[in-house]
Amino acid sequence: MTAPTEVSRLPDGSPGTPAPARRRGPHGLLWLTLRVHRASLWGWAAFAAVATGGLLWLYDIARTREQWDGCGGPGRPACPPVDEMRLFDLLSNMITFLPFAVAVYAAGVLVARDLENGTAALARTQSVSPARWLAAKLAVPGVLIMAITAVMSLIFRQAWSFGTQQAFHPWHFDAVFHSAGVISLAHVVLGLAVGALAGLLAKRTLPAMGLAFAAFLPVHLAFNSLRYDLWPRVGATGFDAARIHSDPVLGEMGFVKDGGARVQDSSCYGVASPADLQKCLDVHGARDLYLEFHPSSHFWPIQLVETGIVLALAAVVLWAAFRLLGTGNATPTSRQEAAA
Amino acid sequence: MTYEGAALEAAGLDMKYGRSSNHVLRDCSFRLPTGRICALVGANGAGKSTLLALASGLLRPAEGTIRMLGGTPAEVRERFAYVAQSKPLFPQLTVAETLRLGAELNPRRWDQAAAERIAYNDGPEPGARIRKLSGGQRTRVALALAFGKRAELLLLDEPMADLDPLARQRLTGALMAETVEHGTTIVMSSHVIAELEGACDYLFLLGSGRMRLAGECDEILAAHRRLTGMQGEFGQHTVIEERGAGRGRTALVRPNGDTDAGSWDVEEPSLEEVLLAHLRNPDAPDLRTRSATPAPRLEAAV
Amino acid sequence: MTVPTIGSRRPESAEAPDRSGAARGPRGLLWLTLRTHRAALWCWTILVAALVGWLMWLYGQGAEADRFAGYESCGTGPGVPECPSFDYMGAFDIGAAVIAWTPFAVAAYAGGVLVARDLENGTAALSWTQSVSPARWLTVRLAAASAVVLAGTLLLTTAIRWVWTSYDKSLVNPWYMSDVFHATGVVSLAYTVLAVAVGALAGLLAKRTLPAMGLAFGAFLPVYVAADMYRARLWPTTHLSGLKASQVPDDADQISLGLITDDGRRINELDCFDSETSARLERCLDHEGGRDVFAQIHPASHYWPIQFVETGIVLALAAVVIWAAFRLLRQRTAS
Repeated sequence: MTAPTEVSRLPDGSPGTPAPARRRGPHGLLWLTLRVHRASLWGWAAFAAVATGGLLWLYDIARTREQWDGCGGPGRPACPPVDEMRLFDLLSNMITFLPFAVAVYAAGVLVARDLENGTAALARTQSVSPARWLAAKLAVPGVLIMAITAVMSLIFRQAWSFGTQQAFHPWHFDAVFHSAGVISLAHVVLGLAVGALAGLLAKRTLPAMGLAFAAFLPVHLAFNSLRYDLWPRVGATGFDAARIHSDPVLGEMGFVKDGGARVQDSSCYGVASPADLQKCLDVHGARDLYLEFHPSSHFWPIQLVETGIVLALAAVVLWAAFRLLGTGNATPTSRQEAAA
Repeated sequence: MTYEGAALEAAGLDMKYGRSSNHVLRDCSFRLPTGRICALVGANGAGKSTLLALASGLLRPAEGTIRMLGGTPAEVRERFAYVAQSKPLFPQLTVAETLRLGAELNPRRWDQAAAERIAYNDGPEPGARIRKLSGGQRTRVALALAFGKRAELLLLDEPMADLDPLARQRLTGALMAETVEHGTTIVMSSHVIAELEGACDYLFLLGSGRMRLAGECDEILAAHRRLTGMQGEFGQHTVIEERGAGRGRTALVRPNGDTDAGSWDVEEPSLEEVLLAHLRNPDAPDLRTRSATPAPRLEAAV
Repeated sequence: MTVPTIGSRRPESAEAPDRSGAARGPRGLLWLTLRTHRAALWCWTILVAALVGWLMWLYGQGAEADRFAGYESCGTGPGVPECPSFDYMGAFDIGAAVIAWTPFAVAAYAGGVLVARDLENGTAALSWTQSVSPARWLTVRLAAASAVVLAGTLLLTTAIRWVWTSYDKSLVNPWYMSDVFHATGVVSLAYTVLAVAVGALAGLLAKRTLPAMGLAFGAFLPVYVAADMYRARLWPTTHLSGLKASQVPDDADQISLGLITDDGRRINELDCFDSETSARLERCLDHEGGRDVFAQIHPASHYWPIQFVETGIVLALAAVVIWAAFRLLRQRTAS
């Protein structure tokens, strides 16, 4: 919808004044989306600023980690004002739960509010097809939010990779896995899609937001449970197994008893030598150790597989949303609203 | 009436929104005696809705006082009714439940029969949800809430806006009947001057933040004359508006003295002419009749 | 609209006003508040019932998990009992998280729907000109909302406490973890009250539904975060030294641990911890060049004191916020 430069004609045929010349900057549907959602986009920008500030602080603390040993004593530097572990938890949780906020935002602010107060119909009567309207609504804030997420993940990963395993949480911790890789970008896209579909289904702001949250939650939980089944585990036995510091969440660890039975037990892991291991096994009456786990080298394969699945799911949900839009279901629900 | 006959009285009202230096109301003073049907007229954005909201206690004036029925809006909450321009109602309630709302919130003064008469006459079903009603039906229900409260003062912000001509006529009839039977004072803001002429006996013209015309319609009309003639000078009379007419000039004036000086045609103007002339000429001097002047006691309290 | 007939009733008449349909149940403003928030009431009731039911089911699952909490071993194969495939700890975590984060939803709802929606579409003005003063309007809303949400939260907290205390505490995350601390104690009730208060103030400030929800959420979050960060300082910590420090209990919140070197410095060295006897500890200290080990902890016995102190602070904050909300309302309207 660019401003035409040709002279417009008045109803009685006489020439009117020339229309204003094209303004610089975004125009058309892009301009409309940016203008209508200006307040919330600034809100995201503010959030990004605060989050980035916190992440840079975390990065700084992580970088100078060695200085914090024994802090507070005579001759040692002062301890950091905030417990870095809690800051780490806060920031990693923020990135992890960002897709929920995105879903609720897409449902309530982007889609349902315009359906409810009739401005979606307004766009339609101004020659914008419903599909273009929805695409612009999702793409414009979506690009901004994805950029924010990417930057946050990047800084977080830098901060986290300074820390040793004992300092911060390991790679397979849910919040870390979300924040230190690319899956949060995919989850944000899915959040947008779920939000859009929820907004089109519920058509009123508050129910749409509730629906988006309630729909996204099981998806999030399901991925948390099934994540480590997405890639085949690696097996190990004997002293190799004993040396690996694996977390039970990644797989199974235990003994192989004399009869061939497998018993889950984390004793005997962490012994110092094969001889110690043998002594320990004898104590427990076991033949060998067995371990099925994911080494840290599986981080990226699992990230990519999950990203692929999440994006595929998002594509399906988006297709459903556009389909719903196309059948004309996204119309005002009463004369009252049509008259608004 | 023990409060010296004033349904509504204000002195020195000043109101602005936020930090803008634009005052919606500036040193606005007026008085409305009881038992009148008053038309509140003014250009768009003149402050009519603001004035009614101040009168209802929904806003606090930046300066000045406003009294209704002898007390502050908070004190007499039960004795007046207000219908906002948007006729706010709860969209999820049915019409019957909305009337119940009135009964529940006004336990001591609710007249269910009066409310039902207004709401259901040619109107919606009791079980219809508010969000499914048309504009005119919503207006009916909103007015039903005001009528059912059996108030002594009704403040109505553009009540006729959504109504068809027949409904407007009936509403006007109902309002006049209210005044006749119960002595209810009614303030209605409106743009449709022609209708007001038949129904209203009191007039407030709001402009530039203050009351430019205030008083009985009869007295205001009697204070204006339309003079038409060949002479250009209108002498000692206060000219509100003047323009060319044929080869001479015509003017709406407030006579200061005798107008039968022979050289003009003298006519009594209609209310519409007076109002339009004042709206077109913001610099015309104010006119306030005696009954529309707030008591000195109130002014001193400012 | 016909002209009303002669003889319509006046308030001064001796007849009682007609109150058709208003005979039973809640009256007046309470009726209106409940009726206009009926959908939310149902949602909340269903949510609480579902969660309580789920917690009871979790209790059943916990019995199996408890069996293997450090006594019997499980696995696959002959003669070995099957491990429960159910992730009890994960499930409990989810339950605790839902209960701990409910106040955020309460704050957003109180801001957006309870207060701002009515301000935005004018129905607040409707109530105020139907003989209800703004102060009374806000009071009834806040009271009704608080009562409903408190009742539900009380049920949920009781249910999850019951599950928590029924089995070995090592099956779940420890008491000092944020979600567990919030969900299992009285602080959940205090935060619920604060959520309603913050929502009310946010609604009055923002006056529109969506901004109010955002503001309420955004204002409530720092309180939560600050509480998590500074919870450990609400009660004086216990200092341990020697063997007691070395054998610091598993369920204690470890604030800082380390070694006191011979020249009196404190460093974060953990090598001498988990020593089994004093003799071993001595040997280790000589080896490391240290004088003693120290541990600054909150033992599990500090759970209730910290709960009560935090509850008090949160309730005081809620009182201030509610006072501010009423003050703002008074300032705006002539009530």
